[in-house]
Amino acid sequence: MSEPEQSGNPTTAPAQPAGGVRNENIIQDVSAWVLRIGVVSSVLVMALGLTLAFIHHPPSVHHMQTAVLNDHLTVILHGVMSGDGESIIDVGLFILVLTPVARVLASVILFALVDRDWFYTAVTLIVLILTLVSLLFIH
Amino acid sequence: MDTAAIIWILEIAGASFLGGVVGAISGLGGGIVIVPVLTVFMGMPIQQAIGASIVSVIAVSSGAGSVYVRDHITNVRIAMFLELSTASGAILGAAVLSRFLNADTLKILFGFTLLFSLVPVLLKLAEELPENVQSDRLAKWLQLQGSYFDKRMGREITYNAGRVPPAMGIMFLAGIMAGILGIGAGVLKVLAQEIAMRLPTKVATATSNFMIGVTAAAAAGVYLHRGLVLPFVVVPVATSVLVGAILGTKLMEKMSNTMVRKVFAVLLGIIGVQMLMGGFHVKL
Repeated sequence: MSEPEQSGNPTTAPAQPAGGVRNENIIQDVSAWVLRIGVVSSVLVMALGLTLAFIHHPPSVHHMQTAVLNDHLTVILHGVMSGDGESIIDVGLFILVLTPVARVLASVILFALVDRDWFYTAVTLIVLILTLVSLLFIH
Repeated sequence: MDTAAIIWILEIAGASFLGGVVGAISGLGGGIVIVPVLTVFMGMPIQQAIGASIVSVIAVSSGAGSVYVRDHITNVRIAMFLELSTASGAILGAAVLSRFLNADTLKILFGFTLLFSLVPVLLKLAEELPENVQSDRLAKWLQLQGSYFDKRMGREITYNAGRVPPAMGIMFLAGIMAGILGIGAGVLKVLAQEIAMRLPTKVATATSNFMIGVTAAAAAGVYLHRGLVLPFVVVPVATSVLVGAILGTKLMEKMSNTMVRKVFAVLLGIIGVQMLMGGFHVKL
């Protein structure tokens, strides 16, 4: 174990208004909840899809090694309506991929509305735009 | 019921669980375990294994992230600011540089870079907390200093953030790597914070863990579009990696910073060697 106090570091937190600390906590709590809700719901939806797929017509190893995700939303929606396990897995996968994006979107809103920190609002907004551009347009 | 199918799913789930534990502790996501198991032991093509790895990174980042953010180990400001560099690098890498740069050359350069960066990590292997760190002007202006409660030491740890510009440079490179190779960004993210900014190791890995999900989500589009994400592979990957990641956060929060750094150093060496082998086409 090293020396408890580091000589070069301040022993007290940097001067910050009490409101700043509380706002920081709101951003952290909301980010944590967005991530938790996103990842848990996506995994539950995926597990439901896998269960349905096995109940309806158990897939062979060969099918599982080759079945590819369908990225046409209309096809997926049609599949979900008819209770197709694979389409439901696809929906869960989309929820998962969008979870970090939703987290960044939440940060943009919170830095703007709660913190009124325009520099960080701009930073997170640019990150959001760049992420969406890569996700949607770079193929 | 087809038992071969069940066994196949359980193999993927086992590797993913381990990947989740290791990924959550090291801030690197689960690919380090999942990609070799899927390719070497299960014969899956590398591009599809990377597709699965990207899904695992998002699940680890979100699952472990929700715990580290709640417990304030993640520094959200550092994450948001450095993500700017990575996201720009990733776009540049994927849209422009991937046309000119040879993937093998890149892997070799990356492999040597990682093995060289083992030296500073090993030199301070026994250092529990970084000492004599001064926040630079940029760090002060960006309010990057922070504190977290260390469960191992049982007290609040206040820390500074040094040398932000080199960290931004490394993060930019991390983005380029992710944009071209689809993998390997996490390790540079930890190094940027550990070596350049000299943050406590737990803060570095937890903040890297928080950032890798966004980079992976940005890269996911290519893999989804090209049909490299297999639905029946991602279900066992995402579910087990999530359970592993939650267990990983419990372990990491109780570990010392030196222990987390040791785990990271081992993975750093493995990834460096893997990159060189990939670049030189050496197969096991």
